[in-house]
Amino acid sequence: MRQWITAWIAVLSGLCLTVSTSCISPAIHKNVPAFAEAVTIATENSKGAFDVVEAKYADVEADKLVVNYDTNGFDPRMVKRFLDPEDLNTRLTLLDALQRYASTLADVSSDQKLQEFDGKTQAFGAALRALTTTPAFQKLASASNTEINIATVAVDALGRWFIERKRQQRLPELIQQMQEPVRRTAELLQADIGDAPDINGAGGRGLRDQLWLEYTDGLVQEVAFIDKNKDRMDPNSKAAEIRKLPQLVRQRFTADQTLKQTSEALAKLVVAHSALLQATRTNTDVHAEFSALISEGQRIKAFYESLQKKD
Amino acid sequence: MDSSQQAVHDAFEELHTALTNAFFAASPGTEKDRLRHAADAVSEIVTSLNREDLKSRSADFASLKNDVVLVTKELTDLQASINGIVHDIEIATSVVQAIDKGLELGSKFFV
Repeated sequence: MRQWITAWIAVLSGLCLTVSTSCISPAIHKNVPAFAEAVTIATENSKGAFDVVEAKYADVEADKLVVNYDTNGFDPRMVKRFLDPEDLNTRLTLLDALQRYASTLADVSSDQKLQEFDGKTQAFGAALRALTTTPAFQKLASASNTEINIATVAVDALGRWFIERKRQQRLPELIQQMQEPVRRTAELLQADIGDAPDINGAGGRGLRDQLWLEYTDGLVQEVAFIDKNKDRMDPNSKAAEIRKLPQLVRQRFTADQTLKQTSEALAKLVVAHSALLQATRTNTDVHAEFSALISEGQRIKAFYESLQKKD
Repeated sequence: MDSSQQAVHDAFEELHTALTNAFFAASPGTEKDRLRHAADAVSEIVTSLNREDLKSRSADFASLKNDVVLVTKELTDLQASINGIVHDIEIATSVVQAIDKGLELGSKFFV
């Protein structure tokens, strides 16, 4: 038994040394969950951009119906969507897949698995201790609590080493493989978000252009509504309708800025993913950068929510 | 959107801006209504062009999804193999507990 213990101590010492020198950067345990959160917020905000444009489109179509009802009446075929559900779904599916990648990455690299393993190893140690204290076992062999503890620690070190080894071998490679899809996704979404029209009302594209157009159309319909009904409105109702006009102008600007910031956050996400790869290879801590990205994303998200409430 | 499509888009968008500016400047009446209807019609064209622009990227989004799913699948395999190590220690604990029980029962019969 003594030889057995000596052998285990030697293995244990070797393992502890190996684990301490070969495990993935400790920063990764902290960085990946922050990165996953940043991805979740950025993808949610991208979905928010599509939602806001679609909702505003429906609002303006309803405004047009109100203004034109006396002459055009209503036909259910007038109810349309801006984006074909299939086109929207293609984008949402990719955004969901990106979120799954980030959450699986966070799960694989988190300390939680190691803690879970430690817990299970402790249970294993307790079972071993219980076994060695039984009279039947003591007739076959003898083992002290110290010996059991050493064996348990050795098993724990071995298991941790296997977990860390697997992560060290695969994570940088998988994050590297995702660099291009993440960059390309951001690029496509940025193209979708596009630009607002310039001061001459040209050069716009994508969702920003569409949203700007919708707000402008909304202003036109509101003015037309006031023109048509102003003589029949009481002063308060008339004032309330007129007050909506400058509000719409301000909302158009702030809504456009939110889409612009969503696009900028996507560019930062690509940089963050690249920084994450660096962090797996070196011992860099990029948690502060990720936290800034999360705060910015949360602010954009809150804005989308407020826009949807206003509308 | 390629440059020729963008040029068409810009032309209609400029027209829309001109029509809406004229609408806001006009006094209520038939002419103002006409400007609104014209602006609405041009707005529909710009909307269709924006819709087509987005549609033109849908295939790229679909193909990218496959790349993301592929890497996530490999991550899930890694996750399963780590879970396997955690599970192995659970099995080892059960084995020790079974030995414990076996020895206890055996001692009743054979000792």
